[in-house]
Amino acid sequence: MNPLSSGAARVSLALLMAVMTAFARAATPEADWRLPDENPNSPRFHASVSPRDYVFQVSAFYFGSAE
Amino acid sequence: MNDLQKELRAERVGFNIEILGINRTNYASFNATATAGRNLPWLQDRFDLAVAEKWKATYRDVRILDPVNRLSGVFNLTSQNLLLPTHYTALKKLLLEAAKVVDSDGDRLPDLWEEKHFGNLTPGPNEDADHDGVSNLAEWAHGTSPLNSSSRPSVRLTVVKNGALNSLVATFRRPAPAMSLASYELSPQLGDWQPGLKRPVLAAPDANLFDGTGCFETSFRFDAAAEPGTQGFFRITLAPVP
Repeated sequence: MNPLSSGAARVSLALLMAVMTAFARAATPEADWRLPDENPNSPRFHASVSPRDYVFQVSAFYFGSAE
Repeated sequence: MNDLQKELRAERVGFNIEILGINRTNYASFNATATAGRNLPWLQDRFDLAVAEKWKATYRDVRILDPVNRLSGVFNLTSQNLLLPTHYTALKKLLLEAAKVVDSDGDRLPDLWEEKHFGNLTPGPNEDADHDGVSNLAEWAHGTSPLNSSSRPSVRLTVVKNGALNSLVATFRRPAPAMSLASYELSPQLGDWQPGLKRPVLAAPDANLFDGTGCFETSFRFDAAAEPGTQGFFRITLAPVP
């Protein structure tokens, strides 16, 4: 077996799997949960916030830290 | 991110865009520092929920969800610095792309709305799937269900004191895309509509309902219509902001 084509095949398979993973993730909604809004300056302060509240809107969740 | 949110609010986008922050599980004591001077919702992740792990988020990821909560894009603020204009523009572009309303059959009903309620793009805007007298287009425009006859558009009318006069305030739901008052007409007996002279004004800032329909609540105040001795009807037309 040509080692180059074997390597290419592995890379292709890895790419295909990555594409399939990305497609699978994009095809289904992200898991839901609820957390209270801790920001006293936010209009939603103390509200129980869920990604579901943002259906039919676009939401962007920043995973930061308060350090 | 706070500045980006302000900028996005000022732009005309299809679906509304909301930015939120989620703090790492073991950094709760610094929440006051993180929220000072910022008004974005700030959520505290918990060990029992482990949202970051559940969503496979890495530190400083911005994970963008489309209008049906599917992952639409990931932008990491460690590898990309928002202080650089090119990176800032790239994130903004990702958000605006996700907010584009796609209407591939050109029937004025967003594809995502049709797919969510009907599973396909077949229903027409003038059809009334639940036979409640409200067209599919009107159901979309009010964030009501096209498949539930008890879910129908409504307008809440209240009278408020406005100096020496009473004013009429009409409150209703509307979908997220920016809408403006296109016309305001008066009629004494539901015919021969004439343009009103004193246009209604927004009674309060639009309020996001966060109820999973993408709708906002809008209130218009009608001063002229509530003048003593005035009787008749009014109608308003809302249209997307050009």
